Amino acid sequence: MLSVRQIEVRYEGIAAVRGISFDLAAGECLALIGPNGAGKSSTLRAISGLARVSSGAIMFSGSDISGLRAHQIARLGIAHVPEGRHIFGPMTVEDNLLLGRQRMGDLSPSQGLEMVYDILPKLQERRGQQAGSLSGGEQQMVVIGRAIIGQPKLLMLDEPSMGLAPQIVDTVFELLGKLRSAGQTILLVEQNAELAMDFAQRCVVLGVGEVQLTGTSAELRSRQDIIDAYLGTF
Amino acid sequence: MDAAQLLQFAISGLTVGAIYALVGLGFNLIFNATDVINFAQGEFVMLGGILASIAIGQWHWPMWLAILTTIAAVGLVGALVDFGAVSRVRRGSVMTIVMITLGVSVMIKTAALLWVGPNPLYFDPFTAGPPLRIFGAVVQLQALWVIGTGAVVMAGLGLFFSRSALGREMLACAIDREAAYLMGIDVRRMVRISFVLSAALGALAGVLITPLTNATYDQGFTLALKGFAASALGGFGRSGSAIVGGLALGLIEAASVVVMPSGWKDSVALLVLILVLVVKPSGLLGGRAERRHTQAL
Amino acid sequence: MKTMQKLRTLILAGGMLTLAGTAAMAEDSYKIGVSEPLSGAASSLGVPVVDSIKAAAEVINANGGVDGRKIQLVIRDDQSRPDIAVQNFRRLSEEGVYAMIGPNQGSNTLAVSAIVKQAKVPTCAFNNTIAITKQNNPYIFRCQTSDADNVKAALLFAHDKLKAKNIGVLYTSDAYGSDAYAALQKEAEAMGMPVVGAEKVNYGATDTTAEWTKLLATKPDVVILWGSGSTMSIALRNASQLGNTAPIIGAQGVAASAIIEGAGAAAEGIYMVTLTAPDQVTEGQKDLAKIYKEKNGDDYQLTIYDTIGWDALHLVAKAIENAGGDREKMLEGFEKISNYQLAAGTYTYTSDNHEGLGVDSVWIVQVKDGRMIGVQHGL
Repeated sequence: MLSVRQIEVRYEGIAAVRGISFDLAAGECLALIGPNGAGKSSTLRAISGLARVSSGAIMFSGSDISGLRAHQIARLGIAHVPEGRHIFGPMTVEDNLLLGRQRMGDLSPSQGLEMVYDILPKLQERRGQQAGSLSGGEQQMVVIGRAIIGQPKLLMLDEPSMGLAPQIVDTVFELLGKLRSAGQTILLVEQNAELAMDFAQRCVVLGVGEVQLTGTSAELRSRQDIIDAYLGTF
Repeated sequence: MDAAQLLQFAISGLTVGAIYALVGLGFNLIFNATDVINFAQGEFVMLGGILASIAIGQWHWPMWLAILTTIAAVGLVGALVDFGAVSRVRRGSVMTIVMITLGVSVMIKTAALLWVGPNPLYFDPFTAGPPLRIFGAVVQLQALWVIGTGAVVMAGLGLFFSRSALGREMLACAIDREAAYLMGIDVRRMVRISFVLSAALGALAGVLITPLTNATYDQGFTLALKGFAASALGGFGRSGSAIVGGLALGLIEAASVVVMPSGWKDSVALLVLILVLVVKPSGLLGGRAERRHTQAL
Repeated sequence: MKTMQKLRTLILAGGMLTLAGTAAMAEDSYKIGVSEPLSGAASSLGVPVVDSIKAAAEVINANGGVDGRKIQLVIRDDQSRPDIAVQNFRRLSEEGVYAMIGPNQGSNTLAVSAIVKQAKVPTCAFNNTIAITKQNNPYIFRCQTSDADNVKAALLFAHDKLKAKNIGVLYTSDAYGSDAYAALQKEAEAMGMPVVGAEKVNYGATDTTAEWTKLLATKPDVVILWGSGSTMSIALRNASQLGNTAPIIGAQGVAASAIIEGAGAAAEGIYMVTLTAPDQVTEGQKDLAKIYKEKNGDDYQLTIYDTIGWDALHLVAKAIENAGGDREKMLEGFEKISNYQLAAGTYTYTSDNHEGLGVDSVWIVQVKDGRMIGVQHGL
């Protein structure tokens, strides 16, 4: 479904991503892991069009999307839950969800809302509340709801556990597990490598802008050298 | 100074304030979608006044047709400003775009001078008749039009931003441009729409105020300054702030005439603005505190 | 159509510049420099002034010039800007002109004063601004009435004809308004007619109701309105909306058709001090009126700007005649002009009077049915 080929991303001349490649099949769940500055977020930003790719290609459902603008990519069915959530704070929960309108395809707004409220009943209770006034965990639920309202082909999450209490992290990953079981294709960026390896079938380990290792979670656990070098001890 | 005179100051303050508020609304509209202070906003107002004066005074069009055509034509100018200048700066900073709007305003002003010359243009108030007298104070009928239309426009914009999908999407661009892109919102299109809307709004303001203030080719800058001050005073980025700021500015100006030598009117208003911004940088109502990532994508 | 005319004037003016720059006329002509606003905010004044200077040059040259030598005009546009005016004056003085005509804005005249003094070229300036002849600069000659005289005429009219016991003043905060106000205060005091209220508005202000409210609360018998530009028509409208019944006497800056038209019914009945009464042709205006009526139709009424340009070139021609064609003696040539009746009035210059026109040239006009009608000429 998604094939990232030798992409390079530069910020003001400095390469943050240097020739990263990986593939992701439909229904698969893949995690990008690695230390700070390894290029994980930049890779996601490149896929969703927020960052420009200076070379390489990003194939999505058979065509290269690396030249498209971010809103066009979003409408193709790639939902990106960015790092730091980026919630529309002054708007209500329901307005936040409805902004996914452009990506909803055949669903009517009310059908979309119904689908999200089915999975996240808590949001229905809070529908009229200002999104910025919610707790961090609830906000994370809103952004995930906002992402899945369009039934995306690919769901990308950047550090969904960041800044949340362990209990809340469990709830978030429980939700993601539900989506995974329902067949949602997921690309996860996670600094907490343990969490990521538990959740994903395969992992791509990044270090200083390059792929260090690609393999299943089990394979990765057997490579103490990689864990020591890039993932720290845990 | 008797009660009637004080009331007169309040009324003239509110009338002028409503004008500032209308101009300020246009500033806020573009700022909401782009973070850019569009200094050509005053020229939209000037163009509205001049076009309507010509259509009504020289071509003798019916008033409704003249007004609608004027608003549409100036809206088109707004689209051209975005298409021809603002959208060309792909990765420019906000400051670059602000400078571009300054340049555009000089161009529009020069074109207006060459076209209609330096003399003031004018057309009769919407409603003919002597001004109203309330407890001895005088209210111009056109002022009621300005205040009334201002209130309707503000209510309409409020509904637009809170109820319509398009309005919500524009607001989303303002709150978080990147997140808006990720929602599949075409941010550039929203910017274009915001330029058209605020140009049309400026034209409407120009049409409304010309029977009170005349329309001259060089009035845009002063109006822009006052409209900007109104928005800043109220707090940028909040609906309603331009109205509060505009009315406050108008009242302060009128009050300054009572207590100070009259030539100080303009300075007093701007001095108050500076004081408010020093004490409370987000404006009277408090605008959006968080500054966002503002590179045009 | 109007636009086309304006464009044509601009193009013509541009053409004149090139012509003047390249095609040198016969060596034995008198070169006269003209620097006027042909574009920018004051172009509505500069364009007719230059037209009337050209009309005067045609007549003078058709009648054999000055002592058999033709007048040659070198015309430049100052774009209504002081910096361009300074450039023009510098370059024209380097070209060896006998005299300069312009500028049209008082602030621009003050800006060129130093160069005029340095280059020793007599200059006919078209300003009411009192200060222009108080620069200790013997080369500037006023070709207009001074506001000192305009103010005097307005006050005498208020005192003698309108029987005012006191006056109120609304004026603009620029040099034009505040200089006149300073002169007016002293003069009114001297006449025993106290200023009971005075309010300042900014040039370009779009609302004057607050100022009028304060002013009218002092119940003045007559209101003097001193300023120029769009604000003046707004001031007239605001006064009438507030129910003002005191007679208004406006400055020359108010006596412009665009302002009277803009004020509509609110201008009805107001008085103004100015230099021409559009409905009347004085003795000195006959030649000029004939030329303009031939060109523009019988209904044409002369404006101030038609007259002062015409007068300026005639004054220059007279000065050349008095100086015997000697460029070094032009200053004396001007200062010998005495009781010379022209279109805007009767001019006299001496070594200590460079005002040219006096109170006797001032017209009081009144708006009747939207038109300016002459009420009183001189005192």
